[in-house]
Amino acid sequence: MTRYIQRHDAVKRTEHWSHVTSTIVLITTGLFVFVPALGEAIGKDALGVIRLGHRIFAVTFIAVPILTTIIRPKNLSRQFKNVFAPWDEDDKKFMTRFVPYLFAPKKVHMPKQHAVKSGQRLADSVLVFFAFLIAVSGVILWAGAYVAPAVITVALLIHDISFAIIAIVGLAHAYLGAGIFQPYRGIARVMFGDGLVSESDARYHWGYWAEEELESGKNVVEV
Amino acid sequence: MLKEFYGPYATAENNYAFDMMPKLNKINHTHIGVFESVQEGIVKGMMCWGQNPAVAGPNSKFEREMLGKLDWLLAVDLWETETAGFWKAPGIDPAQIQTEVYMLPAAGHYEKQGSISNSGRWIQWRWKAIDPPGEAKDDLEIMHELYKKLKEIYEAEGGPNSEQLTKLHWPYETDGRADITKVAQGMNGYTVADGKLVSNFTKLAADGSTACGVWIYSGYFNNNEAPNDATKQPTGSRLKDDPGGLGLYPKWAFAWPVNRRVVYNRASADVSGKPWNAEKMLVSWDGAKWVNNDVPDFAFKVADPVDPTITLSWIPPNNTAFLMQADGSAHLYGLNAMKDGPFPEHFEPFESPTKNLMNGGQASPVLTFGKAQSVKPSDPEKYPIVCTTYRLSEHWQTGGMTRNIPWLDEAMPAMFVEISEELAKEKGIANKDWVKVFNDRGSIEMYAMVTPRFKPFECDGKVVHQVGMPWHWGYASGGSTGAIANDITPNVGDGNTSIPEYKAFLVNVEKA
Amino acid sequence: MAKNAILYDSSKCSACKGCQVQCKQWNMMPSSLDRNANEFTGSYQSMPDLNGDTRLLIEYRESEKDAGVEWAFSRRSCFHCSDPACMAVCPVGAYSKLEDGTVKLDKDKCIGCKYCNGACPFGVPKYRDNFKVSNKCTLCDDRTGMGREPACVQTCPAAALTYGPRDEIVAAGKARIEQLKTEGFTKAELYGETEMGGMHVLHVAPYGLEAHGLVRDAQMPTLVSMLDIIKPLTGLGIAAVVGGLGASFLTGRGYLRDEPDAETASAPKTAKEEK
Repeated sequence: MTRYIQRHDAVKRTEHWSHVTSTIVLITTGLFVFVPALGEAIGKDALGVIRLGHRIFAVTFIAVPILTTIIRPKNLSRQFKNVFAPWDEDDKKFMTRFVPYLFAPKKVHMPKQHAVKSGQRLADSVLVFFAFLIAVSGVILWAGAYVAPAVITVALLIHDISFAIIAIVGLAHAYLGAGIFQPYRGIARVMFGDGLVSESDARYHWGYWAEEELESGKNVVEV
Repeated sequence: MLKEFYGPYATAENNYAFDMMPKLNKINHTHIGVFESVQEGIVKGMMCWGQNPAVAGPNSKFEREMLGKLDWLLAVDLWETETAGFWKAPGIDPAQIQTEVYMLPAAGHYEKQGSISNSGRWIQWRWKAIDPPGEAKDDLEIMHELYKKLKEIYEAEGGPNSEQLTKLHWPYETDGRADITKVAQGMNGYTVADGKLVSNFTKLAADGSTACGVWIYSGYFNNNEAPNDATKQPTGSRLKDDPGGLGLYPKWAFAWPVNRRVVYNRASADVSGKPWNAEKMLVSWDGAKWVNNDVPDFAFKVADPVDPTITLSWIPPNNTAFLMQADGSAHLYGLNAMKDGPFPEHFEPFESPTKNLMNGGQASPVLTFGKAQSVKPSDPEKYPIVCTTYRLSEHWQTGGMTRNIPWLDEAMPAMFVEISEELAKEKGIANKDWVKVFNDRGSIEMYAMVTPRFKPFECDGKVVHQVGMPWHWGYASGGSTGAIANDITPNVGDGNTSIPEYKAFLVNVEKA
Repeated sequence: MAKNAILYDSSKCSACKGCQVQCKQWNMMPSSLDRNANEFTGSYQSMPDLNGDTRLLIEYRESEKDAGVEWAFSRRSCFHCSDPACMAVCPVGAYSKLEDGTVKLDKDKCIGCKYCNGACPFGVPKYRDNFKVSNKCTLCDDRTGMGREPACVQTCPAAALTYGPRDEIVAAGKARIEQLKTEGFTKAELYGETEMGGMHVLHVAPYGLEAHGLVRDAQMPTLVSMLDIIKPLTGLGIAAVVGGLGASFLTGRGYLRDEPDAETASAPKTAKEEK
């Protein structure tokens, strides 16, 4: 019998699935406008379909998080709490050791963490913030005809910079969150599967949180 | 001319139908005069061909009222103009109008064949490019149908002076349709016996053997080798030869009279016949004969009467240059020709904000209609601001055509009055404000264009303001509509021509 | 084909708008067919700015000076820059430069994103609502391609517009400036010789650039230059991250989670080991 903790609920996991899909489609379709040579290569009609797809998934990118927040506001408030929680010694240690850890996980030992790792708190904030910016700037670009040209140029710049940031941080986020990084193997289940994390994994990644959850037992499942 | 108008009916016995021609009487029959005559009940019906007095006439509000006094009005135009639809004018109650109005749609200038003359006296033949739309006809055709119908009625019913119309010589028809080529031939002139076109007016005789509608044009349609082909006539010629490079282009259209491009060209050379400017030789005496690039405007040779191309002798240069003066000399003033003069004099306009400081008079003592009731002269105390009217590049005349062409209408979309910054400040008017310009003849409203290009004057120690406005707008149009500037211009006229004093009169201006 | 250019000499211009109307006619650009549809601008200017249906606009600027009123006329239309911002920012390569210097917008490629509307330092390209593309002066490439002058040049009755090889146009413009200066136009300037890499529509501005509404030292807008940098930077950034993560992956080969040590006190064996 192994003990598992339910880390993420169904609402959260659904939202994440949707958001990942939207993001991947948006990046792919967006690339055809971002890189002129690609757009030129496929021609105006095909590009029109691509741009339509970009807009459809822009709607889901914006609408689904809003919807799930309405359904389960706790998820958003918890996220906020995690982001703005105080930065302690463990957090500082985590950040200084993180890069070496990426290249020498056997040698570098990471400090115990709370519910959300320090690095992830940072990455999440960046992703959410720039997602917000990219959404707003995207809507402005979509509104095109009804907006002053100068505003469009600024919106375009914000959209491009946001894309750059999201792409870069997002790649790292995916590398870790999907468990491509060997120490994180198996962690994909937590967001993409049934949301369960084993006791040993939980203690490895989020020591303090694991202890709290195991003690309370509310979210513990025995398999 | 009479021989052309009355043809076979005009003979030596009846003085070539001279009695058939209407004669001048004491009534002033100019534009202003016509509307006064309407008011007096003398003129009962009117035909306006391509004319829009409802907008273009001086004191146009009065003129519109007079149109409502007519028994009937015939309007011939490309669009329903303000005149054709005068009962739709603001301030007119259609229920009160008894006038029978006929509107005949006319063809535009690309939709008919005929000639056009420019201010350089060139008459150029032009061809039809496209059929007119719907039921529109060209003016000649309308005139022709009207003539035929009127002749029918007059012949059947008789009427005052009916022979004036029924005896007219009117051969201008081919296959039942009006034929402009026949009109051209009639205007050029021909020998009656054989119908051969005369070469120019020198071949016209006063004995009924020749006929010519317009002697000064004679020669413009004179090619007997192809009398029905306008392309082979001087007026239809489009050759770009320019001997001497003087810009005369003698084979491009026909300059009346006799294709002379520069009138009084004798004056381009000195008394001895030497051109003042060797590079601009129009006529030149080389010691033995005259050499010319333009048709000489003086007696320069004696030609063989039978074959004018043979020169019998050359007339050496003398000190006369002005053919149309009896003594051949230039005159500084015209004797017995003008009602005013002999020298130019300064007069204030009929409505002026200031005294005439030059000569003890005020306005011209010979101006016409100054006492007409319709004029309602502006009192400078009530109306101290000078107003003038002018034109824009984008619109033409009353805007009947240009306000119906979207590109032009967009280029200048609204009626306005230009006001100086000083006057605007005085009246509390800002640029683009809606303002009223008025006097006792009328009150019109439009946008204000406040500009430093207008400046107040100082006249006789007083500040006098001036405003100006274009006169291209009216209430009829597919595009833009606007106030009629001429509602406030005075219907007084120049002493000699009765040309209205459109350009200087008095108004007041207020924010509307 | 040599590089050609138009010279607009404002000192000869009578602001008759012949060019403005002819441009619309040649290019079949519509004007409203509705009654009183066009607004009064408060001056002789037809409308406040270029728009989707107007590619050339004559502008009127009045200013009071000691010597009198300067009524400066200006031709507002595409300058056909040698280094055009519109082309730099277009995401689909709808802009191209023809041999003679014309900056051409291919309406079949244009997706109507309006990036060029904002990028142009002069705000020239305008969006056409009914066609969903942007548009601007074409330098009448359909005419010049057949050896004819642009429509505006042909129609100008004041000979204020001339067209020909660019070096001749520049020389003529300079000569005109010198001539104007001798006539008392002390502020006369030639515009377009070097701005934006050199323009193919030059202006003789008798009252100086500002009086004619011309942008002094016009340059590629900073935002546009930034957009230009963003793309390669983003590419580099992504490449760097992918590279870094790839290296991280490689260095992590054969990783097995350690036995718990002092720092990870309650860390048990991995799930793998437990199973």
